[in-house]
Amino acid sequence: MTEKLNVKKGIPYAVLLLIFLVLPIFLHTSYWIGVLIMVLYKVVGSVSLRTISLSGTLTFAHGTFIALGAYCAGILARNLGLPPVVTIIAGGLFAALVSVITGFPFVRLKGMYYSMASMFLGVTLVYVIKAMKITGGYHGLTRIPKLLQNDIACYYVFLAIAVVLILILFRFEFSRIGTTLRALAQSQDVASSIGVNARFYRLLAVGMGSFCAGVAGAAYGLYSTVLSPTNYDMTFSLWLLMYMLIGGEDYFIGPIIGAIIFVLIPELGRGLSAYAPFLTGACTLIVAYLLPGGLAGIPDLIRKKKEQKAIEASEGRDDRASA
Amino acid sequence: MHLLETSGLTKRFGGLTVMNDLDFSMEEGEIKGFLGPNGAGKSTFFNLITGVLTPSSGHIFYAGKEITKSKPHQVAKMGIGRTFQLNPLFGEFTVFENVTAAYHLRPHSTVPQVFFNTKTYRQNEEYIAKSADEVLEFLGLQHVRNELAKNLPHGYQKILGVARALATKPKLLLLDEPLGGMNPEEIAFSIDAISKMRDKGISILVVEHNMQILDILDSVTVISFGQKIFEGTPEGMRQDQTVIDTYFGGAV
Repeated sequence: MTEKLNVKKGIPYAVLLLIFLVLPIFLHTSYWIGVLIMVLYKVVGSVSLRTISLSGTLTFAHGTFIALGAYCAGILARNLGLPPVVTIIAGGLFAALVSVITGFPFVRLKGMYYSMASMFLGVTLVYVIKAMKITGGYHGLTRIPKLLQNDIACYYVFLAIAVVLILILFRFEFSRIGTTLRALAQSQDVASSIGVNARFYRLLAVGMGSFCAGVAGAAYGLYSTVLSPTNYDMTFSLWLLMYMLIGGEDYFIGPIIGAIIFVLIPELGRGLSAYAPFLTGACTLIVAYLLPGGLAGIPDLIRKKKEQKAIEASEGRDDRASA
Repeated sequence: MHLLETSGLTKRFGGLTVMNDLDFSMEEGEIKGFLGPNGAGKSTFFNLITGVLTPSSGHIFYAGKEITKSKPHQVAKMGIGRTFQLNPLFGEFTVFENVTAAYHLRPHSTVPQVFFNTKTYRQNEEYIAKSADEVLEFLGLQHVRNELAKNLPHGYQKILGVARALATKPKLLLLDEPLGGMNPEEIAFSIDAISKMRDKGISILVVEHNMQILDILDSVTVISFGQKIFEGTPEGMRQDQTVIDTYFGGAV
C-alpha cells in the first residue's frame, strides 16, 4: 500500500510536534521530562525499525543497534571527552557500519529465516557487550558526561534530533528508494528482473534504519549517563516491533502513535505499572482482531465502511427503482 | 556475432537433467519462438539466461559477453527484460506505479541524487511519468492506470507484465507465455503489440503454447525433455516429423 502525500497528511505530524513543544510547560518535573525523552527515544527506535521492514523483512536485532550507538557514544564521551555532536553522530555511524557488515551475509535470507538470523545476531552482540571490559561489562557503563546539565534543555535537544531523524526517514521512504524497497517486499524475483540489486537495497534500508536508531540510542545514553546491557536485550527489540505493529505497519505515523501510547500507558496508571505487559497484550489482541491496519489505519477503515454503506445504499435504491 | 548464444547449456537438479547440452542462438532484431511441450525446460531456459538459476555446465553469451554467472539484476542492466509465467506483478501498486517502479535502470538515479532530491532526480522522475504513460497507452492499459494491479483481470495482468519489462528499455525481451489464459480478443491484441515492439527494434524471445504466435515468428527452436529437436522456420516446424511426433503426441 503506497500512502499518498498531501497537505492534509501533514496535519497529524504538526499537531504532534506542537504538543511535544508545549508539553514541558506542564510537565516540567525531571521525572516527566525523563518520560517524554523516553517517548521520543522509542518513537525514533520504532520508526527506524519500520524503515528496515519496508523491504519485507522483520528484524529482531534493532534494539541491539540502538545499544551499539549508545555504547559507542558513551565510551567516546567518557574516555576521550569528545563533544556530544561528535559522539552522537559517531554512535549512529558505528551502528550503521556494524549493521551493514553483519547484515551482509544475512540479507539474502528470506522472511522468517532473516528474522531468526537477526535474533541470534542481536542476542550475540549483547553478550559481547556484556563480556567486554571497555563497555563496563555486565554492570554497565557509568559516569558518562551528561548531554546538558539542564533537563529541559536536554529535552529540546532530543526533540530536535528526533524531528531531524524522522524527516530523514520520511524523505527516504517517500522517494524512489522507498518505492524500490516496497517493490522488493512484494516480489524479489520481479524486482531483480527490472534491475534492482536486492542485497544493496536491503542493506541500504538496514544501514539507514540502524544509523537513525544508533543516533537516538547515543543521545539517550548521553542523557541518562548510565548504560546497562540488560536494557537492550531481546525484549527491547520486541517492544519496538510491537509499537510498530499496533500503531500500524502500513503507515509512516503508525509506529509514532504506537510508541507514544505504549510508553505512556504504564506511566499514566502508575499504580498499574506492574500490569503494563498485561494491558499491552490485551491491546495487541484487540488491535489484531478489530483493526488489521493498526491504530493509524482507523481513518482508512472508517472511510472504507462509509464507502461500502454508500454503495449498498445506492444499490438498494437501484433495486427499488427496477422493482 | 549472435545477440544471444548458449553452448552446451546443461542444468541438473539432483539426478534430473532438465536441460541437456543445449546449443542455441538468436539474432538481433528477430522474434524467435522457444517451444516445447509442458516440462520441456522452457522456463528453466529463461531462468538460466536471466541468472535466476546457474547452469551446471555450459556457457551463455549476450552480445558477445559471457553472462553465465551473472546475477538477475546484472542481466537486466545489460538490457535483457523478461516477463514471468506466474506472479507477474507488484500487486499492491497501481498499474501506473508498477510501470514507474520498473524505470530503475534507464534512467537511473543514484541514492544520493534521490535522497537530496537533486535536479537530475526530478528530471528523471518527470521523464519517467511521461514515458510510463506512453507505455500504458501503447499497451492499451491507460483506462486502468489507477487500479491496483492485483484487482486486474488475468489478461491485463499479463499485459502489465510486458509493460513493466518494456519500462526497463530492453534490447532483448524474454516473454514467458505472454498469451497464457487470455481471451481471443486479448490474444489478437497482444500478438499485434509484440510485432510492434519488434518494429521498435527490440529483439524478442518468446515461450508459448498457443500456436497463433507462429504467425509472427521469424524462427523457432523446439525442445523436448531439455534437448533441441528442431531449429528453423515456423513453416518448416509445421512439417517436421519429429516435432509433430513429440509436440502433437504423434496423433496428427
